[in-house]
Amino acid sequence: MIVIDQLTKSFTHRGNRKTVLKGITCTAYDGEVYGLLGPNGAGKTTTLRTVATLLRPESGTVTVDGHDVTTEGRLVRDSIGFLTGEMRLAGHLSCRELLRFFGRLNHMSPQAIRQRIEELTADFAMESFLDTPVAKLSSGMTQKVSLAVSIVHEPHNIVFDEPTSSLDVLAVKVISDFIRLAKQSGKCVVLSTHVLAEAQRLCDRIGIIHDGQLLCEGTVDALLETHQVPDIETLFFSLVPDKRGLL
Amino acid sequence: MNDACIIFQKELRNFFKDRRTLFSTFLLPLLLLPILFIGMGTVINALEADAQKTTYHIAIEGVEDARLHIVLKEVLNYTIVESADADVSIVFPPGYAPGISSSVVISYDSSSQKLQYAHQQVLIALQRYQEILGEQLLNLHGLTTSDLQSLNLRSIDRASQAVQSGGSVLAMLVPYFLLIFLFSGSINAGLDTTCGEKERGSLAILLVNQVPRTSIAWGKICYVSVVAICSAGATFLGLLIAMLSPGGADLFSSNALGAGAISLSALLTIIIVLFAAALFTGSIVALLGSLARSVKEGTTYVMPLYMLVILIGVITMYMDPTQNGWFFFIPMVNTIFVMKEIFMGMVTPWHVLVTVLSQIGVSGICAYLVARLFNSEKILQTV
Repeated sequence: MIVIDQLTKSFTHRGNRKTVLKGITCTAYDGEVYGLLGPNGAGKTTTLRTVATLLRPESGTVTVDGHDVTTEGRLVRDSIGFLTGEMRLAGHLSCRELLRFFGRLNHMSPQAIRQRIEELTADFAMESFLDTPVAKLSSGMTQKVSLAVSIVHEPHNIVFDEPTSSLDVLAVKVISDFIRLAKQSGKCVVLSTHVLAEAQRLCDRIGIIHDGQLLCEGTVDALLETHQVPDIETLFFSLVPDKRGLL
Repeated sequence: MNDACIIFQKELRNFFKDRRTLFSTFLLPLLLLPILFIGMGTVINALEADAQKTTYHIAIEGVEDARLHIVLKEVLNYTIVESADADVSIVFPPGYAPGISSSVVISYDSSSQKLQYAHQQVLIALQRYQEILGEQLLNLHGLTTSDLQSLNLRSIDRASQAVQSGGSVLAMLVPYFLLIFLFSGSINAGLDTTCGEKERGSLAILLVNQVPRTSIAWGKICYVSVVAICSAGATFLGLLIAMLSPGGADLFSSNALGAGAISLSALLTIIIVLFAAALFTGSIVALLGSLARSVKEGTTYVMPLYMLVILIGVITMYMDPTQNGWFFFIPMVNTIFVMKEIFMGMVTPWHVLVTVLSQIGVSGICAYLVARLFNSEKILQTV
């Protein structure tokens, strides 16, 4: 379970201080998919990077399975799998070698690593390219490997930041199928996206974030009923003003 | 430390699987210097041989002396032609007779390598002709040339045997080449494993892990250092091949690798010093790479330092290492000076110790800073 309470965060760039998170509070429970929706620059990535211990909260708290991200970083990292859509595995190591490497980094035994590689290979249908260097794989195959690498240590909590950005339809399906599977096995999944249809399809609960503030939060059905809208897209545009115009 | 080893092994495995990087790191320095030196030596030898075989057109005006032709024949193949057709013209002033002090004009075209050679040989012949004329004059007064030599000069070279057998050539060139390849070898690997990973977004997944960030820093620094040492080792080997080969040895014009030039203990000391220098370059490049957001940005940080290293290499080429003791506290400069001392057979354990410790010390500081950067939000924002 991931609990974010009154999270604030500011960055200083060339002397200008900008608050990007203004007291975010939300909870992602085990066995559910929590979707963080928002336009670019809303604060989704900063929130998830704080959960992943890459950034520290300025005020407020973030706990993962009861462990505080600031004081118990290593315990938090042990229980989360983190993947970003921007990640591009490269190099001349094969998928098997990469999985073995990340397994060793997570202090898994050689036997546990072998077993886990077999499981992941079966789950993501990677038999045909398991020993191929990642540099020679297609984007869909690379994304499968990235996904496998991020969860090689069987984390209970899964944090995906825009996992399907710049992926083709088939690669998106791999991610979506995995998220459903993770939810069924009782894991806590948090994902950020700006693809609204995808969020409605995958998420049990949704939080809409804009300009560093959580505008609303709840189950998909409850949100649609409360706001009297037919879908998440309509809800999103009713809450988030589009100041960009047509051109 | 075990975590650092895991990262080090992974990086090294990735490196050894990349054929292009292997080519540029190992094969290129291994081949480049032998090809360069052997090629240059062969070309110069061929040019010299050709110049010696050629028959030159020489014009001689204002003198008819058989002795001049005899000395000229000793140093050059030639035929006598008119001035207009001559490669080299030797013009004595009107009214010249052997023994009279006169100005002799030698004209030739310096744009031709062969005519430069012919000019040199003509000068040698004229010098010999002048000596013959001098001996003739002395004989008229009942003297010989040895009567003019009242001082018997004898020089004693107090340099070590290693220097006399070619160590000074090694001392000048080897440290320079090793330093350059040590640094250039670490640039690609260092930037790829730091800002390259940032650019690809794969550093984030490494940082969201059980591994302490200091271990990540050390793993990466050790990897870059090993690549640097491999590059420098290949360069050293290439230089040895170049010097041992016939064409290369001709170019160095000395028995640079003669007996005693490099002993086993000297070789071991070079390896120790090189490892320390590799650790230093690896840590500096890793630090600069960690500061950058992309490989392009990293290159702009590293390049000025690379230029500085080249400058240090050139400046220290002719410097005497024994003059300033404090130079041994400056990383890179101390590497060059200690290697110079090794090749000149005058290295002291104190200098080796200071060199190794100072570089390890700076590397430790760099590793600490890299680990700090991996914890810094300014940096983590961009991973």
